[in-house]
Amino acid sequence: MIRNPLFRLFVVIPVTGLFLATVIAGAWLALGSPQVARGATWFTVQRVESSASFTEAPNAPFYVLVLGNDGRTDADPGLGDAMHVIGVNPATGDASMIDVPRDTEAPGGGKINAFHATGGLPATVDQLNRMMGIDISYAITTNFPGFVAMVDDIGGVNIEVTEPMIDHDSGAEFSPGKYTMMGDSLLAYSRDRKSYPAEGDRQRTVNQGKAIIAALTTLRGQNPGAAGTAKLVSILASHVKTDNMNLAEMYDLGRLALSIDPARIKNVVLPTGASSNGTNLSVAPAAQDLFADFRDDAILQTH
Amino acid sequence: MAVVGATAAPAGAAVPTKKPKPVVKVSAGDLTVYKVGDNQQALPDDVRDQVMATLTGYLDAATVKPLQTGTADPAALASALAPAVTARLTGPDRTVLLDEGLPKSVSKIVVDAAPVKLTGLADSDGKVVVVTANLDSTTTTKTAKGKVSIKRAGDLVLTPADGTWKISGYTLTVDRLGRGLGVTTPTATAPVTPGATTAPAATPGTVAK
Repeated sequence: MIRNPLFRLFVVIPVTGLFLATVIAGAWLALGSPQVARGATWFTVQRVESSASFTEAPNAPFYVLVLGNDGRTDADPGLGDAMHVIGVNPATGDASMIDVPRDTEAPGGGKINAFHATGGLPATVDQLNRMMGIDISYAITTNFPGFVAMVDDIGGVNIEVTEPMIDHDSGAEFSPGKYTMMGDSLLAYSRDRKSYPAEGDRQRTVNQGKAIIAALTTLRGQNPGAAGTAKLVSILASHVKTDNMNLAEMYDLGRLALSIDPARIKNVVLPTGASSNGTNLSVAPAAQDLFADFRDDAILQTH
Repeated sequence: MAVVGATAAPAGAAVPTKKPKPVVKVSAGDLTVYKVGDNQQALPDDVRDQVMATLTGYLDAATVKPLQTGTADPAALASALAPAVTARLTGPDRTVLLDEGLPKSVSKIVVDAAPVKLTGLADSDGKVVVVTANLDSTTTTKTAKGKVSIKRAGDLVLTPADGTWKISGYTLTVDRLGRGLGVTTPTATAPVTPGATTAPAATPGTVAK
């Protein structure tokens, strides 16, 4: 305790005051010399964080045909043996898929898969539009070697096999379990119909739809971002043929596809029955209700 | 607090009228092009330069100008943004794309960005049709209410249009920190909008110091 009043008056008080002034001035400068508005709590620092994302893709519901053909070379157009019509509703971020068995009878007569061999994607799109009462905007197809190379280039697809699959013709030989299938394996999985004696073609079509959703799930899991999507689209475009879709549109559609939660994609096989000629599958009457559900907003709500 | 308050400028004091000179430091980083049916290739210099000019123009129009004047420059934005993105400015994305509504800057505005990684997508002829730019920028300045820091990060997608490149898509997050930001209304519960890959979201908060 300092008892000398002169010392306290001329030394302690000025030094203490100088120290306090220095501290206050330092704090003032460190805080950016804030000016105080009347009524403001000026020691408050606000933080505002927000985010947004936009892709220049269609903003109205639209449809895409994804078709796997059985061509062994690029010169061979092949039969359209795997047909999947995907409806996308950008406003809700949802998608639905109708799988069309290859032996389904086309509105124009005969099996629908034959239209790809004779008229390519446009002819197939026309038949499916007539069948479903929709207007498919984009179409994309690949053949056997394209499919294998594409799957290999993306590093394989994670997929779960839920029952034993053995089909020596397709090369499928899978026990139930989870796999990362490379191109050859996923092609065999997608072609297998002999593991399902009763409904081979239908179940194969179901599996093809599962493979498409599994591929989307796998790619989303890689979180490719804008740059990664460019790489994926370059791979895709290297192995497919398209109708009404340029490379920039493919990129935008790819970004949009990767924004869709695969778990919310409804995957329904077209209802069919036996036709009069015994080899084709006729479109079942119940399919009309499915088509009506599909064409109003590209999403299946009641199926 | 009372001592500091007493030394503060009186309410209503004039803000300096001299326009602070901005500094925008943005440069290209890694350059990659994915070409259809071929291996990776280099991004052509002219594409790189045009894309970087667009990015610099965007940052100037979206950040510097609003901090100087309070509002963005529509003409400058139109030259950097594709029409579809310009249309988004009427919605909740505006607060993410532009730094409007903040107190005006009273000091130098510095926009500093990490080297921008550019990734292109080229067709089989080598024509680049899409470029993505990975942006990570920080803008700092001082307003009448104190220091402000704006961090903007994410991906911009650019496509060619009218002989130049324009921003046609984005996935962006903006994080503003400072005093006087209360006037910025965050996009709290905007619905998913057509063409948007994700709904805008915001997490406003207050950091007490």
